[in-house]
Amino acid sequence: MLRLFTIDIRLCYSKLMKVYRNDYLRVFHTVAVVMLFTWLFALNNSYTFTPVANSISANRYAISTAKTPSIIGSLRVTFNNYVLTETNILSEFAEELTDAEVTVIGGTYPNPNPADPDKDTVQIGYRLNKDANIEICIYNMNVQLVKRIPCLSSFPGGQRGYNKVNFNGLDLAGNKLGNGIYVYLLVHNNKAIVKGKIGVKRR
Amino acid sequence: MRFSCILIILSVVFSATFYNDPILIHKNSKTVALGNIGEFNEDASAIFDNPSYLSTQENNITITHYRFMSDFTYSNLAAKYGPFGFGLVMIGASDYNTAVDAYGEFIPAGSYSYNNAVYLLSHSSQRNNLCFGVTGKLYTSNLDNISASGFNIDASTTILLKELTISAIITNLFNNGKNSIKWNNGDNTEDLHSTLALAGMYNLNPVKLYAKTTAFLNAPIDPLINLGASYSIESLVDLMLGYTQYYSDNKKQSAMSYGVAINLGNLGVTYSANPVKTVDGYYEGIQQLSFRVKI
Repeated sequence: MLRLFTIDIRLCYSKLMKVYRNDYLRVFHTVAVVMLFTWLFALNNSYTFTPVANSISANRYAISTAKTPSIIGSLRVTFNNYVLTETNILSEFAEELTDAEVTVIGGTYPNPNPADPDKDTVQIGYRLNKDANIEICIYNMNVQLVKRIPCLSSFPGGQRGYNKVNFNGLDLAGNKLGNGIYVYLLVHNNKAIVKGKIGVKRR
Repeated sequence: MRFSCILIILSVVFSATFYNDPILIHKNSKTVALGNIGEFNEDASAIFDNPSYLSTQENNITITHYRFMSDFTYSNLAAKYGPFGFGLVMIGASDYNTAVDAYGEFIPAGSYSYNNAVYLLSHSSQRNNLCFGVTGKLYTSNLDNISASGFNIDASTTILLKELTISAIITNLFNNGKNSIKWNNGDNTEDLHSTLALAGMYNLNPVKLYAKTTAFLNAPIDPLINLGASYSIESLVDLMLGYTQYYSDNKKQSAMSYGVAINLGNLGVTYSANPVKTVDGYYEGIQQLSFRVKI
């Protein structure tokens, strides 16, 4: 029985080796190995945000501690099996990367949403990694630009850290925007850095 | 001083809240490809722009579906049967409700949806070289926990000459589009754009030239011009090009569009692309497919 099994394995191996002599398979194998190493290298040099229902600080995100040490930009961080919150890690490290591109950390949301701009104080919130000129461009569902809100660097809306920008619900001509969902882009140097949606619901 | 007073008075007079009308959105691939000229579409999608032109067609059904801005889902269906036309336009999106966390930052907390639908029913007739059509439109909307409904009418006429076809279309003529949509929360009403459009098609077989101008009757907006051209290869393939003027960023802008239609007897499919300029890397093209079946 064992002998038969051994023969079977040998037979399979010899067949496999015959197939492996095929050039295409060898190329495929080489590519797969390179990809595997690249992936392992990337794992060792990346950080990932994973949703955590209840982290230590009851925040929304935590940094995965699967690989230590990790590298954020040029900074080497040792997590030592400790769950760091998104706010902690970004305020401690990411925001100090002054040569980094302007980015929005953790997405953008308006509040309240949907809202009546006549009766509520509607604000668009986002966290910037550095001071920057930002323009909020709001589009209706016909992809028409209906509103621009410019925010100067180091002033509200263009400051490092968390920004809240007021939205009055009027279009560029001063008309009230109709009920519905609008898309907004945070634009820096004519490049959209993040997209959000805002609902107008007049009461 | 006098000039600023006039400006203030004008802005008060024309201050209006317009409904996000899904009929104004990229209705059909051929319409988009021809620079937003759908008045002479050879399928039932003509109901959205020119109900009188339905009387020149055989019975057919057309459908369009696509997503744009990665958030909105748009579909329309149009059918022509005998003297009647039926249309349905639907658009929907969803978004997060939000709350404030312990750090004063805004976080998602639940979700809500937004859906618009328009039901169109039209009647068209033809006497000699004159066509007439009228469309009744029923609007319904849902946004979070509120809803809206409304009604209005489009009417059009078309003159069929030898190589030239001319149409005049008036949209939302009932009450000039004012207060057409009523939301169910208090006295909240919204207007529909009332427009008068003149459109023409010149058939220089195998080339067709299209032109349209649209005047806005209830908004201080300058008239818009649309141009289109198509080239038919053995009645099998149509190559289309369009030029559209539109308002964005509170000023008149323009864009080119293009498309290709394949006609296989009773079946037809049209692809179009409409590059919409926003900022780099976002929404630079809206691409869509429409299908048509003759019945």
